[in-house]
Amino acid sequence: MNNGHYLKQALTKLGFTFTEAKDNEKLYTHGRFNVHEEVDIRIDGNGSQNFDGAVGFKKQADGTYTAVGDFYGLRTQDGQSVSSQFLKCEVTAHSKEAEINDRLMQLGFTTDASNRRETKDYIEVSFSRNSSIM
Amino acid sequence: MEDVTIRIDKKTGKMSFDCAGFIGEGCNIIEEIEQQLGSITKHENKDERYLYEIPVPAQQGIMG
Repeated sequence: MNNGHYLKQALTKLGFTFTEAKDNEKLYTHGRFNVHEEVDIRIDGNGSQNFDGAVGFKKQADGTYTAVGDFYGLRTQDGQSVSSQFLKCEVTAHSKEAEINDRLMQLGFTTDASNRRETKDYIEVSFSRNSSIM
Repeated sequence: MEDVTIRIDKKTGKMSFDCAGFIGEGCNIIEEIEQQLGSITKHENKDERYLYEIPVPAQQGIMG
């Protein structure tokens, strides 16, 4: 597992559809002014709006991903602007939630949807496990 | 039962733990998670691993 795994989970949870570059395949964004940038994950759309491959994520040498492309006019399903701020706040938080969820599950914790709360400022999830597991 | 609540701040990307009244490093679960993650996230107070860079708009010349 790596950042890409959780990045994809976050994108799915946020309603985005995407294409991942396969071995030796090169994917490119298609921005305005005929600008193309190579990416490893290209966001296709949000389920209702086709992004026409305008944006994506490029994997860096350290394993992290950088968002690249032309964000002009892109929206989430609920109408939020898909901007750098959106990516920083929402995708980062959902990636982190996906990873900590996996880690806590491995430690024997469980949770369900009723224990999750999300606002525009934070995500909060409660987990529990039987103490005898420790 | 052992309960733990995590909260992820969307603005900062930072995550905090609350377990049975202990918040942050008073919580044993943090050490367990650190053991799992190795040295990658020694203390969950950095969000660099998840911080996607702000994209820089491409500069384009305008043909006149």
